[in-house]
Amino acid sequence: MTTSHDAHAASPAGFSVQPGPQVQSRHVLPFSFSGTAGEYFRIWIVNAVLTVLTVGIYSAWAKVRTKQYFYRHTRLDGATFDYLARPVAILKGRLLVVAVLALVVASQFLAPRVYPFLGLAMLLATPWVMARSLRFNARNSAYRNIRFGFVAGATESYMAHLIGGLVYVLTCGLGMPYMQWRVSQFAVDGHRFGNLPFRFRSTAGDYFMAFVMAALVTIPLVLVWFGGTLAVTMLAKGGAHPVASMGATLVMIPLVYVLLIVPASYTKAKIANLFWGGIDIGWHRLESTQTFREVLVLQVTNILGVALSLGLAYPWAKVRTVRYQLDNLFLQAQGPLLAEAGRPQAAGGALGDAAADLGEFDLDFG
Amino acid sequence: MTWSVRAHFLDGTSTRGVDVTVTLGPGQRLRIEGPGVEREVAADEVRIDNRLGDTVRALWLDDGAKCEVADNDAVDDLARRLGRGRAGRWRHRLESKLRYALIAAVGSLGLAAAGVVWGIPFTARQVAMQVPDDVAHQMGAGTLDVLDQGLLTPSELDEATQARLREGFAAQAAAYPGLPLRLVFRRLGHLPNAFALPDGTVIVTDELVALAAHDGEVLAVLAHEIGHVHHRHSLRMALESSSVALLVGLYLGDASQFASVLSALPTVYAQASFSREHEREADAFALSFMRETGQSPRDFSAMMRKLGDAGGRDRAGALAWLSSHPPTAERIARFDAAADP
Repeated sequence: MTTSHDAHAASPAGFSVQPGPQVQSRHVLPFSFSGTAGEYFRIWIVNAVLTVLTVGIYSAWAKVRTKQYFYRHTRLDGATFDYLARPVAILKGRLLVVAVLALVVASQFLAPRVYPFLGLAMLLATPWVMARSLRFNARNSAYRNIRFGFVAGATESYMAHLIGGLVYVLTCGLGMPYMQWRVSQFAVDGHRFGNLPFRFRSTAGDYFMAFVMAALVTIPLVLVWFGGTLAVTMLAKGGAHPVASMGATLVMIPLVYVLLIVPASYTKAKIANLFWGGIDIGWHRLESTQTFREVLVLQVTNILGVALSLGLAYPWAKVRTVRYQLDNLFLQAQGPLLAEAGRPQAAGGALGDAAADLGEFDLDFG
Repeated sequence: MTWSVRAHFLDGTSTRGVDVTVTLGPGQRLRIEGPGVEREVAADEVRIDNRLGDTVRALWLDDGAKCEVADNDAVDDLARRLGRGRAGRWRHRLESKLRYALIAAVGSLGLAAAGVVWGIPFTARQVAMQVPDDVAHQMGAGTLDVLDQGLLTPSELDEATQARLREGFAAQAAAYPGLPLRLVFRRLGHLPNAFALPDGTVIVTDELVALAAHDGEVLAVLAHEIGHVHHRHSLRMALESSSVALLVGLYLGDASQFASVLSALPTVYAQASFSREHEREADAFALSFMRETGQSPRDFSAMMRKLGDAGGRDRAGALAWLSSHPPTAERIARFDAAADP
């Protein structure tokens, strides 16, 4: 067999291990997204129709198709990503989840004493499910025909959740940013791209700052809302109209949810930058440049669009969200984007690697 | 005419790719040629990705190498020449014509709605009736104890009334030896009410007994409650509502962000609809039971009138669809009509 691989077999395999003198210039490579709302809308609606017609079975194929649509429209350095999962593996995972849920629901009626223990068991299984799901997703994501990988297992997942959870509980919830950071670090550090390891650069301090700033944004908003509610109630009471005062309350209470979009967008933008922008891949590093103002506008228009169209604008909202995220994602490359796989990965081939698939199932219900 | 296309070859061991030309030669063999690459494989061994919008797709060799092709029409042409990918092309045609997609969407929404309104209750009924008696009635065995700890308070009815009603209930229950029926008296705040638990326990409140002009009116309501136990409505409701929740979750899984908002409404409406059907079924049970035992259906409609006056108005308009019981007027009319044929 004569392939390009043989031609480069002598190239430094240690590229990811040490920079060495051969490291070329630094350059910034942008990500881009070429999908459109119209194209995705039709794929989305056909997915929904076939899922209904097949009583849910097709949902596994729909998931693969959706992921493939977004991966294949994501471009970096002239090449696109690909999603290689076999729908049957996803179907297996979904059937398993349905069976477990059915068991839990049945136990509620048939064995009420066992029911709380099953709930606890499901909670305890969460870190395992998460590790499993990250592994499945990584193994089935590829760029230039090299698969990603996930090498952390259930042990690391339990450690991350246990330590994060302990901090969360001991600080009465104030340590939430730490927990989120700890679990993100576990998720990022476990990844590989071919022979290039991932490393999470953001610190727990960065995460805390994002939430502290969000709280500072929230306080004046809440004060304004509180003052406004008080004023409106007083005015309505002054007029001695019970109906008017009730109407005022009915307007002011939902308003708090509207106002909360502001700090939520703030943390969304900051955490996205810290998460995606905190990833090192070998000697390359990602950089994310989302801004609070743009995310706020995006969120508000998306919610309005989806609500006013009774959900039909969902594909439009999803496409513009992904486009915004990728337009703000860059790779600071150190030399060419080069990765090797230890051995040829045949899993995408005509026969597929049934052996690797045998114990493989997807538990991610997203 | 030979088939040929420009492609990008990636062997699966490195991110380095090579621009190649793929040609379909004689004997259904594909030749892949480019700088440093020269391969020939049987076309049968090559897997061709299905078309997905206008995204780049690949021809996969069985060792995991792939040729990425941007020209989707050329790949469709190759698949056609090899007599493959018919289902994929059909799906792509569906996805490319907005008209087809919308027609199919409206059609399947109708089908899904029919499935929820008729399919789920029908299936739940079949399944519930297959469950063995002892398992079905074991369900919720501890429920009365739980209710006694919080919601319910002891009855203050005098012994004589309790004994009389128990005797009447026992006579009714004798017609259904398979059901583990028993009657208990409790108070639920100041509400006149009667309800059945899946294990066959029927609970009646002092206030309901007080509303009745005579024992026959209480027994008419109890017949309705026996109907709930007989038709296994608790088990069926559990099956029905969990199926709806699961289905809505599956269908909207793609839209997880909005799923909570979108799924709440149909779920609530569907559950109310199931509950109204169960009430109608229990009413029908009570009616035929009263006919067989020679009791006047007016006993039931009289109770419904009093309960309606005590419980306030029915929900009107769109809210009627959220109601767990059919309109009181409809139920009264049904029993009155049965009383004067």
